Amino acid sequence: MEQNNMLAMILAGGRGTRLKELTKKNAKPAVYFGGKYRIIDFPLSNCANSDVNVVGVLTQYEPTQLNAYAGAGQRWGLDTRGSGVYVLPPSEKEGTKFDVYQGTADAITQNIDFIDQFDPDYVLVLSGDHIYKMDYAQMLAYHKEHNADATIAVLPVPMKEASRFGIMNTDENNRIVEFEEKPEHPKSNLASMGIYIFNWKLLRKELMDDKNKKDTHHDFGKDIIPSYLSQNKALYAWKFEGYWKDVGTIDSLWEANMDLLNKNNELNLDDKNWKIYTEDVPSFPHYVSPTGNVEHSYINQGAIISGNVKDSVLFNGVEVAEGADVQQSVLMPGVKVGKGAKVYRAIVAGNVKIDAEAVVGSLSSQEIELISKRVKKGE
Amino acid sequence: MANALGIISYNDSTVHVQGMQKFRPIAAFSFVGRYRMVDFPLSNMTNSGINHIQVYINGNPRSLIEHIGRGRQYNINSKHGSLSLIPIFDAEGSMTTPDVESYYGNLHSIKSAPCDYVIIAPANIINKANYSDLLDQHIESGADISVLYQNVDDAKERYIGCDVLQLNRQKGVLSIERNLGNYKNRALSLQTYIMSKEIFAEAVTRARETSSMYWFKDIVNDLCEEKDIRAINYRGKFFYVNDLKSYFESNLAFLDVANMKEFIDPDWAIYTQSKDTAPAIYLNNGHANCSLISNGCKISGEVKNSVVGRSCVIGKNAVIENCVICPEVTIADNAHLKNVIVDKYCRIIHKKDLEGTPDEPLYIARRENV
Repeated sequence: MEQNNMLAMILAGGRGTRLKELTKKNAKPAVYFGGKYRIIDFPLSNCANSDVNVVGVLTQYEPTQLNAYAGAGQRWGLDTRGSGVYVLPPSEKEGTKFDVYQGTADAITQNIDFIDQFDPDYVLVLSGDHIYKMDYAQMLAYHKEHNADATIAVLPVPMKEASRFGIMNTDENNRIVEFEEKPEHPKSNLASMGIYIFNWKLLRKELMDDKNKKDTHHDFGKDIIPSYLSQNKALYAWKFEGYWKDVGTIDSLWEANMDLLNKNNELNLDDKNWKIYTEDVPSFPHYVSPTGNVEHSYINQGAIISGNVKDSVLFNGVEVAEGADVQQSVLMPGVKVGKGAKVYRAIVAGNVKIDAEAVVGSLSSQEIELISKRVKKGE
Repeated sequence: MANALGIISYNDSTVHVQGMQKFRPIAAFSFVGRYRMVDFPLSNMTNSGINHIQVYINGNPRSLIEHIGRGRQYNINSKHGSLSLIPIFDAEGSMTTPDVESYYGNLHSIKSAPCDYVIIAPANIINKANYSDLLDQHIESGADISVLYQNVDDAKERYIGCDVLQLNRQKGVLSIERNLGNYKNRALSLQTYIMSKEIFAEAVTRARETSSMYWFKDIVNDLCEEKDIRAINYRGKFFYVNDLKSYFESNLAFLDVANMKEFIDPDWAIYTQSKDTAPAIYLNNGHANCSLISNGCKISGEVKNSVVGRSCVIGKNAVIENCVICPEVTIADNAHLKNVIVDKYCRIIHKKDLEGTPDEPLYIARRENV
C-alpha cells in the first residue's frame, strides 16, 4: 500500500451468461484462457506488476472456485507484508438485511469499511473479464498530473464498432465532457475499458449519496459517472494502447486464444518484465510421442500428444491419442481426445472426453462449437 | 507422516559428469527439461510424508540455493516442517570433503530433529522411492541399517566405480564394493540408507575415528560384520547418472512413454520451482516429434527425439535430433544438432553443424557462444 497508496477492487461477480456452460458452475473470471491462465490472472498480475499491493476481489456468482483461487495471494506475489488479495463476497452487516451486490457501485459501497481500513488516497476499480496487460502506475501518474477526480482508461476502437461500447466524448485536453452508453451515432471512438481510478474521499461520498437514492441502478456507468459529470467534476480519459479483449462470448474467447498463435501478437505472455502469474500445476514438459505432430500451436506443460495438433491451444493434462486430429481448437485442462477422433474449430471445456472416432465441429464451419460434455462416436 | 529425517547426499569422485559438473553440483543439473535432479529425491521425500529434510551440497551452491529456497514448492509444511541447505564449508576449499565430515558438522541438528530415523538418498539417482513404505520395511525387518539396491545385468559397461553390494541369500549385506566392470550381474547400490538416528550418529562418529578419508559407505562396509545390515530390493525404474553419457541417456530415457508415464503419477507429483513462463509456442513450420518440450520455448525448427528445457528458442529450419537442450538456449536458424548436450544460456549462432555420437555426446558448455 505504501508505494502509491492505491488499492484495487476487482469486480468479479459477473455471470458471463454468454459463455454458456463454461460459466454454469463457475464465475467468468475463473474461466480458463491461453493454455495455463484464468481470466482473473490478468488484472491480478497487472496489479502485482504495477505495485498495487492490496486487491479486493468482489465475488458473487458461483464463487466457490474463484474464492479459493483468488484467495491464494502468493500466486501473484501478493502475500508480502502490507499486501494481500482479499476475497469479498456479499456479507451480512449490522442494521441491514443480507443482500447480494445490487450493481457495480453497490459492490464497492458494501465494502467501504474494508477500503477504509487501508485509508487509501486512490481506489482502482477493475473488471475481472478482460485480457490485457496494463501498467496501472502509469495511469495513476496521469491521474495525479491532471489533478483528476476520476480517470477512466479508454481504448480507441474502429469508428464503425463504436456503437457497441460505452463511449467517452472528450475535449482537447482529454477531459471527459460526455458519456454515452452504446450510442447510435457515436461522436468519438474512445471506448471505456471499465477501468477507473477514483480519489477515495470523493468516491466514498458519492457512493453514500447513491446508496440512499431511489432512482439508481447502483452502477458506475449508469449512475456514478453521470453524477460526476453533472457536478462538473474533473474526469479524464487515459488512452491505452495495446492488446485488450473482452472475452465475454464463446467466439471472442476462441479468438483471443487464437490471437496467441500470431507471432506478432501484442499480448506477448512471455514478457520477462511483465509476467502473467497463475497457479503452478506440477507436471512434466509437454510430450510429443513418436506418432504425434504439433504445428503452429500453443502447448502447456503436462499435455501428451500422440495425434496431430495444428493451430490450437492446449492446456495442462490434455491428451490427444494416436490418429486424432485437432485443429483450430482450444482444449481446456484434462481434455482427452480418443484415437482417430476429430476436433475442429471448437472450445472443449475442462475434463471433457471426446471418444475414439468421434467428430466435433468442422473446418468449414463459421461457428465455434462449445463442447461441455462427453462426445461419443457417431454423435 | 514419516518418522524420519531425510538427507540428500552428494557423491564422491567416482561420479563425475564431464563439463557440466564444473558449473554446479549434480543435484542442480537440469533434468527432463524443466526439473533439476534434486527435485526427484526431494519430491519423493515430501510425498512420503517426510517433513524435515537436509540437502548437503558440494560444489558451487548458488544454483541450488536459488532453486530450492525455503522449499515451499515441494509441499514442505511451512510451520512444522524444515528444509536446510547445507553447503560444505572447508577453509582449504576442498571439493572432496567426505559426506561423513559434513554430517558430523551437523550432528547436533540431526540429533535434535523431531524424528527417530534417518533416510539418506543421493541426488544422482532418479527413482520414485516411497520412503514411508521403505521405512516400514526397515522397522519390520529389525535390521540396523537397510540399503536399497537393484540387480543389474549390464555392470560390465555401466556403473563403473559405483557401489555394488555383496549379499548373502537372506539379503544380508556382506560388503560394499566398487564396481570394477569385471562382472555382468551385480547388485547395484542405490545409495539409499535407512537407520535409526542412534546408529547413524554412531556410524558417523566411528567413520571419523577410523579415517579422515572415510565416506559413509566405507563405514557401512566396515559395520557389515558386527551389525545387521540388509538390502531392500527396489522394484521400480531408476536412472543412474555417474558420467556424461549416463546423464544424456537418463534424460532421453524419458522419451520412452513407459518411462515417462511411471513418473507422471498425479498422486506422486514431482515438484519444482515455477518460473511463470508462458506455454510453448510452435511458429512458422516448427514442429516436434518424440520429444519433451518445456514452457517458454519458441519452436520454429524441427525437434526430434530430444528434451528441451524452459525458454529455449529453436530457429527456422534448425534441426535438433537426439539432443538434451538445457534451459534458455538459443539455436539459430538452419543449425543442425545431433547427439549434443547444450548447457544453460548457450547460443548456437555461427557454427551450423554440431554432432556427437550416442556413446559420446558432444557437450557445449554453459554460456558458450558457438
